Amino acid sequence: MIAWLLLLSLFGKSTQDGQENGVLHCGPQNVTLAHNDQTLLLKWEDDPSCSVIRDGLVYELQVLTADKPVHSGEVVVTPAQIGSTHSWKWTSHLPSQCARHSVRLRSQYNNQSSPWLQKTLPGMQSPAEISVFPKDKILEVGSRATFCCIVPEGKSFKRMYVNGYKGIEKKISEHVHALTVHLEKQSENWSDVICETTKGEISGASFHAGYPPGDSDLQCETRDLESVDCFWNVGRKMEELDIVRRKYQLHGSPCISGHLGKCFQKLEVDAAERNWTLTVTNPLGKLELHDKADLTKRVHMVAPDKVAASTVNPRNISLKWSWTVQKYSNLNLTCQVDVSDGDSNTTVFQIENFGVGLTAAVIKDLIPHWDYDMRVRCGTAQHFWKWGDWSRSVKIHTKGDVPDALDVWMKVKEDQTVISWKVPLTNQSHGEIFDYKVSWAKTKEKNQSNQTNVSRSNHSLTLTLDPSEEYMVTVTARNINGSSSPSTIIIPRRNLDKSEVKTSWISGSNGSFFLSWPVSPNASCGYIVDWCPVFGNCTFEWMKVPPNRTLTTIFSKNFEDGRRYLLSIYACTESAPVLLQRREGYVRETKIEAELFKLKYKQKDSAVEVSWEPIPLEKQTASIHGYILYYQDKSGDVFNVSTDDPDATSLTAKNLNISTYTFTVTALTAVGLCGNTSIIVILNPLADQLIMLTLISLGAVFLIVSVSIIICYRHWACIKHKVCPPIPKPVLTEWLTDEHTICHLHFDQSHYSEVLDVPELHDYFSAPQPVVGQDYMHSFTFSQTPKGYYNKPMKKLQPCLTLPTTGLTSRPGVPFFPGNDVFPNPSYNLIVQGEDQQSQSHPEIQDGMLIIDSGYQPQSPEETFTATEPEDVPDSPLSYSSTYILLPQKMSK
Amino acid sequence: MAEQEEQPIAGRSLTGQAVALARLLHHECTSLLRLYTERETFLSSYTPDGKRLVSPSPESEEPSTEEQVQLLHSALRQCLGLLHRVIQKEEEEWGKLEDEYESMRKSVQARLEHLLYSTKGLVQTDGTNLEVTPDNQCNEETDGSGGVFGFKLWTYRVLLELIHWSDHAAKTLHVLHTEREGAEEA
Repeated sequence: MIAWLLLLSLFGKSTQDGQENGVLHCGPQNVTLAHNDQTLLLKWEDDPSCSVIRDGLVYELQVLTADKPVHSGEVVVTPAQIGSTHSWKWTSHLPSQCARHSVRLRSQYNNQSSPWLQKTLPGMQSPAEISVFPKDKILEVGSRATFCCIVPEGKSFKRMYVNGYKGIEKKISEHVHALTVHLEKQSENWSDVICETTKGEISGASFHAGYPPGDSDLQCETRDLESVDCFWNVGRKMEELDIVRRKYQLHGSPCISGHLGKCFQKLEVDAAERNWTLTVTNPLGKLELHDKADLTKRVHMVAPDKVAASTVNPRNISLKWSWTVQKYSNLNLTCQVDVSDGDSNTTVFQIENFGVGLTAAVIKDLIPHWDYDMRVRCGTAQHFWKWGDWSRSVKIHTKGDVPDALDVWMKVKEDQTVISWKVPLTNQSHGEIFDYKVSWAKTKEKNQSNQTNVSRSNHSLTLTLDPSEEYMVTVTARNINGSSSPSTIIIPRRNLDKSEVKTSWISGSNGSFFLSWPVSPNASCGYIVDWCPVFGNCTFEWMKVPPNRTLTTIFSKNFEDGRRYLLSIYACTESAPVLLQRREGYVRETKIEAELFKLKYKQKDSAVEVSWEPIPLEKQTASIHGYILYYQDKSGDVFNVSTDDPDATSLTAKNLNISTYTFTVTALTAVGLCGNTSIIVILNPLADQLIMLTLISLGAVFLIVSVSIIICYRHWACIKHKVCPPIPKPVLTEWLTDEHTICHLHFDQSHYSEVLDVPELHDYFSAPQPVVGQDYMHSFTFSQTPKGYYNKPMKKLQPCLTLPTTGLTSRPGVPFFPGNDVFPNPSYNLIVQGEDQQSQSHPEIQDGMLIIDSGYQPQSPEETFTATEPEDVPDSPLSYSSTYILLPQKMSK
Repeated sequence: MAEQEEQPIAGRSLTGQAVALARLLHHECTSLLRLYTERETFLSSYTPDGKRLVSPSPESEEPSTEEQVQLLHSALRQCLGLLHRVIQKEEEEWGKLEDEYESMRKSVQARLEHLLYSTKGLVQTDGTNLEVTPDNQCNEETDGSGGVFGFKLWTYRVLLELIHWSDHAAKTLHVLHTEREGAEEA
């Protein structure tokens, strides 16, 4: 009833005061606003009138920065909280110094609100110097930070910047500017926000961008059951700045080596499971790592101390050690001994021993006369946690022993048997070998054995044994400790029938031979594979294969590429070994060198057979699968013939032309064509063809000559007429009667006996007045005998044969003389020249004179003949030069 | 050439050694400032107001050369005090960096201490007792009010002060050297 009255008074009072309806008198009181860094802290109490409210109320808040609303919120007050002090926090993006921050507050209840109540933080009022806020702030990488620069009155802001980061400027007020920076990376140290005025003055604030702690994986254990050791992953690189460096605490106690990810504390370890908590803090955050463990089940043992050999034998030793932690003596331990080779430091084997407070172990299966390094580590056998630390290594040298039994094999070649044994390795000799003892006897006469000692530098012995007998050979090695167990091998009787085991081909791969063979029932003690080069010294090697295996890979450091090997597989029996298979091949084939062949050739008709000597196997660094004969003629065309027969010794190139060929023989191998050898062959014309050709040629010539003779004979008259037309007797009756025209032609037969064809002299010729150059008229004189020829009129003078002119040309404007063609003189090749023709190379000749020129040019004055001048000797015969015949000038009409 | 002839040769006299030491200190202070500005690149655009951090007041208006050296000794002690404060504060803020700057800073400190012993030996008389310990007059207000950034600016000013006083030491000691060597020759 009283409450209702109060409630009525709560609303009624406002009405009576004349205030607006809906105004609530229950509101905040004693409001205070404080700030911590950039966080605003508002505190208030409820007005006493609020106590009547039974169902709680809501406070509405608004934040204003530089008088601008930037945030709003609500605080719900439950009925139970009414009457108590309320608080509200909010972090501003702006430092409180940068701007005025105000918070308004009012209550709300049943759609009624109390009046706003505002509290304000004034911010920094115009400082004397430029100021940048916040200062020395530790910020988280990835966040955004806002810095402000407050410029005093009278100075003007120019810019804000941060080296190494990008920022966005914003003007808050006339004198306040902000820079918001995205901190995308960690600061190396302190980074600086710089604010600069227009006059170049600067100020700033430093900050550090870093990460909150990121440690993980806490694990605790004990080493001595009297302390705890905890380890964890520190995550990112430890901070360099002290102020941001992580602080570690394990159960409230600081960890000195916390930055290394480990913490050690002395405490009483009891057999109970406990929570182990590590606290990591830095200015950006706090982290707690937890581990739950019973430390008695997490014993990480320290290393055994004073490890030493108590007993040393050839093949076993005893080790002992002690513990620095007394509490280990009550623990059930397992200890591991690491045995490693003293030279190579590689672990040979590890053994484990168990026992309470274990302090000794026996190590067996050691090699006599051998260096070892041994170390020990232990762990708890019950609730094994992890192996403890290794002890320091101790060096141990085992005592010596007799050598191991030798690995013996044999090779029979003709009447010689080579017994060979492998050089005992250091781990087989167990001390320095003095010598070897070899004894042999016929198996049926074992008591009559022979024996010899072989020096330690030799590892084989050649025996001459009766091939028809089976022998037993025994070899032992001696050192300071005694003789090895005997190794026995039985040399079988010689098997004369060698065709029993055929040799098959094998190809090597990766520098080795892979062999497999069928199971042999005889191989009671396994198989032996031996090998040696096919050519050269057969220093054989062998390996033994256990009975349950019928395949192996043969590898030897002595294998050579390009060398052919013979491999033999034997069955190891109780008696003599039995040869099962033979293989032959290369580990790796190599190219055969060039000029492999010694080539010969033989021409057969149009074919050439190129042959060579068989290629010796020692020259075959690769297996030859065949041959190719390339041949190339001068034109460059290349042909080839080939054979797949590796035993072939010749190839024939057919259908060759008579030419020069280059023949190249090459061997076909798995590694390509090789061994190229060339010869050049000049093919000779075939002899029978030559004879045939000669005969045909002769026959053809004979036929042509015969036909020519027959034709000439039948048409002789015509030919004679054509070639040598009949020369009419000169009609000189009238001509000779004319005193002025009589001219006696006279050839001096004494000088020239052949009859010359003389052109007909026409009566319309004027009286001959030959003018002959004097130079050509003194060697020979031709005279026309009284019974000689006379000129006879001719209508036309035509030569029987038309010959090329000799450079004499008709002169334009001069009438053409019918006889101006050139005629050959049958004997002297004289040329008849028309009157209008004139030799330009001869001495001057008067116009109107016909010149008979000879094709032959005398090489000396003595060979020229001379025509006598009529004027000088009127009655003398007409004289001619051998080169020229001068005729009267043709009369013009 | 003439300047080189004037340069005292170390080992010839105490004043000569002191001058050489001051010159070496000046050179190293300059290097230290260069290394510092390489680390704090914003300082390239910073110009201090020119006020001296160290300003010993002379007792007389026209002090003699010996009095000037005593005054110099006092200023160098204050410089050493400032340098000690820089080293202490930097190690607080940054830790041990072990870089070239830190190495040079250590060298300058040792050289400055050595110079203090030299100047004390030159001008100490029976009536005066010169101290060689750092004269630390700075406090939180002078070096730490501006936070880390303010400390960087203050460190810069300290380094400038070191350069100024080491240069001043070289000149003053050279005057003393000239006076004493001249008197001895006469």
